[in-house]
Amino acid sequence: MGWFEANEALVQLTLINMMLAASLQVTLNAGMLSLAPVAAWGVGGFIAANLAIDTQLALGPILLIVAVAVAAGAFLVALPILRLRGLAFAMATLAVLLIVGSLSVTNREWTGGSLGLYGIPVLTTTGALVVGVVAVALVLARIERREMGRRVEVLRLDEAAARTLGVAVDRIRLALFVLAATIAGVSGALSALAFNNFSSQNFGFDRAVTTLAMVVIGGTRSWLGAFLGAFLLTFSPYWFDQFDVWNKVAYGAMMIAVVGWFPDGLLGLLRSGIGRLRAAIDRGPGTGTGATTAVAAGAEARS
Amino acid sequence: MTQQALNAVVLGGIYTLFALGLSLAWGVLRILNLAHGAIATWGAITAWLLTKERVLPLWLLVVIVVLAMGTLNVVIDQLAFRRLRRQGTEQLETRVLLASVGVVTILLAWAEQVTKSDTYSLPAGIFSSRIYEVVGVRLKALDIVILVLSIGGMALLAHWIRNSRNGRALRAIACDPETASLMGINHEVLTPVTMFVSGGLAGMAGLLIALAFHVVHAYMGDPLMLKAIAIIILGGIGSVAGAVVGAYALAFGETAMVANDHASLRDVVAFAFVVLILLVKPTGLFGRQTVERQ
Amino acid sequence: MSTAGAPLLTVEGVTKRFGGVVAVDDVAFTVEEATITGLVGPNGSGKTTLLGCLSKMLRPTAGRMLLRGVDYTAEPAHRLRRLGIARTFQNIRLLPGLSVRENVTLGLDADGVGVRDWLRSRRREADKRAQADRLLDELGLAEHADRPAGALPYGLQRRVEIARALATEPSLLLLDEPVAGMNDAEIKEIAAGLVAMRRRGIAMILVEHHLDLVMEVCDALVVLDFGRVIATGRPAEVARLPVVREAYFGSRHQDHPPADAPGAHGAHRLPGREPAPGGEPLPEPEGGSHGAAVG
Repeated sequence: MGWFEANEALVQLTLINMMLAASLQVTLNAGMLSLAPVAAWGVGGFIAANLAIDTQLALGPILLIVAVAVAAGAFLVALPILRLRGLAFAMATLAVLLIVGSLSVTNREWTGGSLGLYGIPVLTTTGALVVGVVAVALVLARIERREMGRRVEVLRLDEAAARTLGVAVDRIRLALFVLAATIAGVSGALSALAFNNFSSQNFGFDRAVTTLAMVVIGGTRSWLGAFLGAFLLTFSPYWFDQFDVWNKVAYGAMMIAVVGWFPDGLLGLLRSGIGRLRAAIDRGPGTGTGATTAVAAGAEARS
Repeated sequence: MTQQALNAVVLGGIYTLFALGLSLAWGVLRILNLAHGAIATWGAITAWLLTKERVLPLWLLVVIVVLAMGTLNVVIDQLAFRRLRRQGTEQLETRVLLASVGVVTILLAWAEQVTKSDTYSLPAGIFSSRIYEVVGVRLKALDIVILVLSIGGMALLAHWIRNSRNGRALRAIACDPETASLMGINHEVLTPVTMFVSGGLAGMAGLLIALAFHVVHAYMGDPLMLKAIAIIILGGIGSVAGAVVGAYALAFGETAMVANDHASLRDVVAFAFVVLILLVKPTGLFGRQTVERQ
Repeated sequence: MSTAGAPLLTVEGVTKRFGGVVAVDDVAFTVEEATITGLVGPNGSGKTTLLGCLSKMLRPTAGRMLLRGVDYTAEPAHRLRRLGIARTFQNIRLLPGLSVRENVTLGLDADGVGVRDWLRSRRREADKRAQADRLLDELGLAEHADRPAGALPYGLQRRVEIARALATEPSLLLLDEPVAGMNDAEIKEIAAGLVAMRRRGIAMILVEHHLDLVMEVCDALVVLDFGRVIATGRPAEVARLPVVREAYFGSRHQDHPPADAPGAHGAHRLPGREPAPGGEPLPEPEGGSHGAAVG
């Protein structure tokens, strides 16, 4: 009981980061390295903060307005940007992030300038955050499975082949881009309404880098990986007693190692470990499905 | 007015050096090294560390910083990126970018540690503080030094790309990577050489920024990085001429904004530029249309 | 939808330029239902580019393409699946990490992104699995269903790719060098497979350098040279035409750069298999045994 009260802010931050990380993962898994959700996070936060300050709206309506507004904005941004691929696409989303960041510093009335807004009514509860995280998990789990999962996979690996197989590449890219922005926008709104203040400092390049680190370290192939990464990286300063230089160096090294050696991230490692364990158990009592499990483990271990 | 133009020229020179290094690695090796800005930061920090106790002549500082940062970049490439290249081309660019994010994290954490997140400046003794008046324009000795160094750097790079064996190989790869590798161009040699040049340019840009704006701190490379990306998108990835034109366009644009009291909108304009280019001509002003391979 | 009496595929004046290079020049021909049409021609004659246009991977610069009388030139590539056009690639494009069955299932996945499709996916999944297994069985791949596609030998991967294309239930299948790099036994199997597919009513366009196979299975040939159609007709007749013989081993090809899309000819083909300039004459139409590859 005591622990939770003392660390509620940390728990809330973790849940918020889980949603934000998931929003980056859902596009990255489809071959789009997009930093635009971080911008959406900021926009969502500012819309929510202003609504909460100026109106008497409750949390639900505010989140709904944020979701609609951010989705509409993402749709407009997507029209030109989705024509790009690879690094040019990534850079364009970075440009979006920076423009939003700069505008939010300049536009003092809405954003409080570089200091940000203070005294935002606290409407976010841990329960609301848990509901949000679960909802995100349900939607993303649905996307990852079965036909949608295969479509996203072929889209990431070979767009041309995807088209010949009838995958509506452009529509899926658009849908995922808008979905990611919406998730991030809601996460930003929840954040602004949780901690009483919100500023453009919260969603700069720095935050994009940290969130990307969460996704990559946790595993880019599944929402679960994003959640795992967000949890580990948000909580580690707590475990390791203060946020010191070595902590950051460790993230950096982990990121390099994961990209080069364990492309499926910690989640991939966990899964292949479980796969091997199962295979070992199956091999024990004779027959069983040892072969299939070995294949599954092999598939996990592949690059 | 002339004074503003001069400032813009000096700024454009620094931007060019920095953006060229990034563009070279991006266009030729398909390495978008987000640590490029951190390398520039470390160029400045190295100079600051070296001159903390003693005064070194500027030329020596330049030589040391360029060599050190070039080497650092090669080490980064070998430790973080080489393995990715060997694993094949599937999403190589994105994976290199992600690995470079890891590199940034380490370099910045280390920079914070060394500088204690404080701001410093290089000692005044390492360059002349004379001010020349030429037809009504105040010209600091430092401005001349920066101009000479940036133009010299560009000239050297242009000469290298045009006349050396590695430079030719570089151009060949930029035109057609497949044919180039068939012709026996050795990436194992060319990549470190290119990364060395790229890192050296970044280090030099960092040093010049530290001199021009009297600042050394852990995050000085960040805005530079963002500007460089704008410049490269503006000019076209991998194009030397594009980088030069983009850098000066940005420098003049920024100076004009500041001169007209819109300093706060400076960065917005730069990136609005970028979005516009991407909308109209995604390959940049000087970019080549790449033929899609089946 | 379809116009009565129209051929399965009608190609009218299709042209594709890359900058100043005309890779496909005013090509016109038709393909009838349940026939195999061989698309042949020397290296760089525009075969793969034409196939790219037909499958809408490339946008033709000019011309029209009609399926059963319905113009599909303006359709996006992913809609072709619904129209009944499928293709395979010269360089095999499977997802190496997914299992063979999953790769084939990809061909069964509908192209809708609708919420309703998505919510019903669980029920359909079992059907798809059964359907994929049936296809794998037909193509003799059943025992490999659970292996990652990338772990299969080359010849089998080709077959998986064909299975995946068949899963989309095409009426027209575009095959880009399906036997490149295969040994004689494998080629024999593929040839039998093509004939079996024709019997099931599937029409095919076959881009192939392996002339024995082309002469044996094709009902019609379209010969391209420098992006132009220089001959069409029954294989036996076409092969005798002087213009075709000249295109295959006339001296003017010797120092002509390929006008085809860059990289159109991948590394998977065995070097000796193509009718190189100054190479062997075309086989006599009657004498096309499976066995010997040209070259």
